[in-house]
Amino acid sequence: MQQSSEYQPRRYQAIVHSIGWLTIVFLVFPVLLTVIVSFNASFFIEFPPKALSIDWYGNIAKIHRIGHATFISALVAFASATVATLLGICASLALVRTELPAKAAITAFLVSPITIPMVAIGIALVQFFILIGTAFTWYSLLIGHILLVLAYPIRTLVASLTLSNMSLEEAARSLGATRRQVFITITLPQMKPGLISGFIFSFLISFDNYPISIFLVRGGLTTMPIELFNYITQNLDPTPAAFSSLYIAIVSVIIFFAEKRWRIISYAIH
Amino acid sequence: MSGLELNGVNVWLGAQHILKNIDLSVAQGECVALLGPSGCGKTTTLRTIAGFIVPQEGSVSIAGKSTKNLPPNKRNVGLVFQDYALFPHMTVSENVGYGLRMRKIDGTARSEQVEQALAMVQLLHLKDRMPSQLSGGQRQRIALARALVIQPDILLLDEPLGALDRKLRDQMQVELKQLQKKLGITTIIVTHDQEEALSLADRVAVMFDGQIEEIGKPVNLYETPSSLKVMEFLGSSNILSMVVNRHNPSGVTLSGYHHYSVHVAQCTFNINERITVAIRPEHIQILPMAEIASDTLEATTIECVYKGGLVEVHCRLSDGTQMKAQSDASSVQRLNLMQQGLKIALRLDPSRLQLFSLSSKERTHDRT
Repeated sequence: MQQSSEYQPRRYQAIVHSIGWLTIVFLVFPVLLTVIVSFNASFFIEFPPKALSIDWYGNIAKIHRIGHATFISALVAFASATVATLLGICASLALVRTELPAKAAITAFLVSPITIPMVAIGIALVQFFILIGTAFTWYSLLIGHILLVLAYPIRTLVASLTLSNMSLEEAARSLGATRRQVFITITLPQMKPGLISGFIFSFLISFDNYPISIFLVRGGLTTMPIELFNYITQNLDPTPAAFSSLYIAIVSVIIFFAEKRWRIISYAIH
Repeated sequence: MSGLELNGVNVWLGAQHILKNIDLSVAQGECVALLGPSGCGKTTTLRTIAGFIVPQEGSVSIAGKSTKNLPPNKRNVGLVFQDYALFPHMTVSENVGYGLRMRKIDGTARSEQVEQALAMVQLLHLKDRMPSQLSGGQRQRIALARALVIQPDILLLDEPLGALDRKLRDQMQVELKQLQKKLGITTIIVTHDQEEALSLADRVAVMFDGQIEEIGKPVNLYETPSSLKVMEFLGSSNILSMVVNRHNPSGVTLSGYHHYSVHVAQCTFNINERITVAIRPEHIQILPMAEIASDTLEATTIECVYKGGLVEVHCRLSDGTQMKAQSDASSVQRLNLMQQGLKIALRLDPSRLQLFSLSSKERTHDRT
């Protein structure tokens, strides 16, 4: 891949660059629109805004159960990201550091939830949980979310383990470290970028998931995206835009610092 | 006391027989190089000594102690990897101090020993750097310091200079040899680089196909190898087919190639036996055609390859056998060797001829 760019004629480069920039604009524009709309003084969503205000931010608390739902979402996101990351550590060690047969097939299977439509996963899960009598409980919601996010830490951890050379662990062994000491002092620090990026991506994916959660919640058990969507179906004002802008701001800050400190995006793309 | 003892070591990885009956005895303080083409089992031998591979048969003892059931961390070996394997998340001193930390040596004792080790490789000033901030040569020395600071019973080096550029490699070769001698540490070097093996080691073990073909002092191995395989593997050589002609009081006469005959002092072969004769290019003298005699071979030049101090003259005998001889720039000028198709005479130094039985010649052909 590195070589091919050298042989690429300039005119293709111009085309590739413009497609790249158009894609970025296409991805970023809705986000910008959301932020602009959230500062709109008017009751209706309109663009461009005629007058600016921050009133809609004050209105966020009016969204039904938003505080409770956000708390549940954060809790589920934290728990599922933690469990998925721990499972990801075990899986990636087995996939990278052992002579496992059919590694490619196992990897494909473990990351398959991201290739299956979420609605299909949601329906399958709710039927399964009804069957075993645990539907609409916080732990079946948690299990659903673990399934949803598991692929991310596996991918990032496999990447960081693959990048870290086996000879590091062998060097540590020859210097007198037991297997346990090697894991704690060498392997785990080498996995750190993958660990952090896997955890952060899991958390974010779980936190704003709608299609799977919608099948797994009932009554008092609710999540932030569900309550936000309920509000949108019944109201036309830009309050959800204000909430989303706040959310975008917080996530941007988290990702900015995580990327600066641990280069998490580079690991997720690998 | 013996520094290292391998007795009948056999290793299978899956169905592959990687090491076949390896016997190796290394004296305390001796430096032995395992030399061979890739896939010959030299790295497997090193990993077996380090304890990463447990041989299915045979035994390994280090510094007189059996290593049976000893995991790598209990063997007290200093290992330097080809890629150095410095821990990227630790500073230079943390890297060097790692083995001491695992041995529960803490505080000032540890930092003193780390500083000593760094001073030994002349890199004390880099102790707070991260490995990513070091050059290749510096990394190599840090890896060496890290392996030596634990005062290992044996030092294992896997292609230690392979990743360095030519000039640095020559310099490190000298430093490594001096350090090894000064510390008197038993050392095993794995390398595919002949020059590295011949210049660093007290003895060289040439390995082919999971076996030690021959082990000996570098000079003996190069000058008088016991098998044609080793002769061909080390440096370059010319292979000729000749017949033992007659015994004289002072030796025998070998003949072949029209009127050519050469007298050698030592020969254990029978009269009329066809044998293989090998000679290094540096032991062939190039003469002008006017000096052709019964002890010179007639040849035709093909090509001159300039190699810096020396010129390698490729030529062909009348029967098509290709030969390589060495010359210097002035002789090339004088004899006009640059000209292709020039007739020349080659005088093979009789004392440098190596005689092998024909069967060993056939064996080398099996290999290719």
